Amino acid sequence: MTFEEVYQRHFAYVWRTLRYLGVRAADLPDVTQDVFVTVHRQLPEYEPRAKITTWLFRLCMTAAHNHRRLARFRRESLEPTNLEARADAPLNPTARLERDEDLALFNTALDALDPDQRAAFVLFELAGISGPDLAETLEIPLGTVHSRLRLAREAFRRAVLRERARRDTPVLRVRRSR
Amino acid sequence: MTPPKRLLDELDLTDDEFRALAAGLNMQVPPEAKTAVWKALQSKLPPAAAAATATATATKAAATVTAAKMGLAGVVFGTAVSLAVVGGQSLLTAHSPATTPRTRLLTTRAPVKHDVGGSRAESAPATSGSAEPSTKSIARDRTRETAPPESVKQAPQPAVRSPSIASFPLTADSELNASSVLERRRVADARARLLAGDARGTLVAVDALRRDFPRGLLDEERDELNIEALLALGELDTARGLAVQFLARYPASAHAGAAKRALK
Repeated sequence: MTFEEVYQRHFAYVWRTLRYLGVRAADLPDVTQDVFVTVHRQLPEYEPRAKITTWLFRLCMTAAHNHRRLARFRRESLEPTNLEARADAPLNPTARLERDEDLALFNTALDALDPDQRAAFVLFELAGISGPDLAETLEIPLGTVHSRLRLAREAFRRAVLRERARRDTPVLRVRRSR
Repeated sequence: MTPPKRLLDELDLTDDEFRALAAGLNMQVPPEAKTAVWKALQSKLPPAAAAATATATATKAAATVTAAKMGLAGVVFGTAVSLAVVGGQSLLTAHSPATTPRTRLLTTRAPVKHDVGGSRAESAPATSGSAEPSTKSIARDRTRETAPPESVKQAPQPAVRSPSIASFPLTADSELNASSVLERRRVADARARLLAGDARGTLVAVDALRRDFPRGLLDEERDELNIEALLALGELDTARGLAVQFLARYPASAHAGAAKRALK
């Protein structure tokens, strides 16, 4: 498989995986590019014993880790931007608002997971990877996979509940004391 | 050791959890991103690789600038799958054994005919050569995603190209991507309402489908339900108008029964 083929077939996979793993939206072009630079460098040594997506996922995990390390002081707004809204012009305002809210909820809940839980959650819940394949991808025992998944799901669900409660709580005006 | 069920398959999934997961599953890749990153890559790769395209001049910074210009300051999030509250709960229960009729609808309906030439054809499962599970794309607007970027068009094309977003199959329903699973559940829910005599509820569900899946895979079924619901409500003129449009748009549709009945 040539580099161009990998790029053509798996660009979206890499992009989405990086986003799922917590790479800031604004940084996705650069981090995706970094991943494919690594792909280009390592492709000659790549041995297709496992799925190429397994290999790519690992590269994405490394890139996302580096991204977190470098960007730990930055805080990204979880709300989609106006530019995103413009890209979704066919949606009516109500539908777009609902979509944005749902997506913000999703991102907030994912952010509640620690990196290990997040990787397991992404692979299992979003990528549809089976437990054994997940164990191979993350190079951990199957029992650990199940444990991480359970904790990740609990954390995700708690975060959704918490975020919903937060949004439903009216903002209180704090009277400034003299 | 019993393998865990996926969260989306849990019967106690709340509406909020469902909506959040669905939104994540339908996250779209900006259509311009592929081209922008490819162009920027050329300046970072060795000359032999970069020579694959003649337009290799952009830098990584340029990629960011380009991306920003294109509106990538944030990732373009995908399909609106936010659910009408009333529909969402029904969809959640579509897995339940107690909802056998709807489940049956989901699994036994005839394959949907894809009406948009080319773009839908690309959503067919990848043939040999794909290193990924052969699923359809998740994103609603796959036509944008599957179109190769200009710079990539200049590079040698792979013999078999799979849909780029085909890497995220959903649960055991490997034939379907996440978006189409959601859309099918919604269509099944709308049909279940109609079968239950709730024509008004069907119209609400159809409107929600049209809003959330404006270029859905199941447009024909959706429009068929729309006509059937109008017929059930006795709104014949409106039904006839839609029937004419339906037959003009889908002259050979397998879902033309309601339209033909409306015009009799």
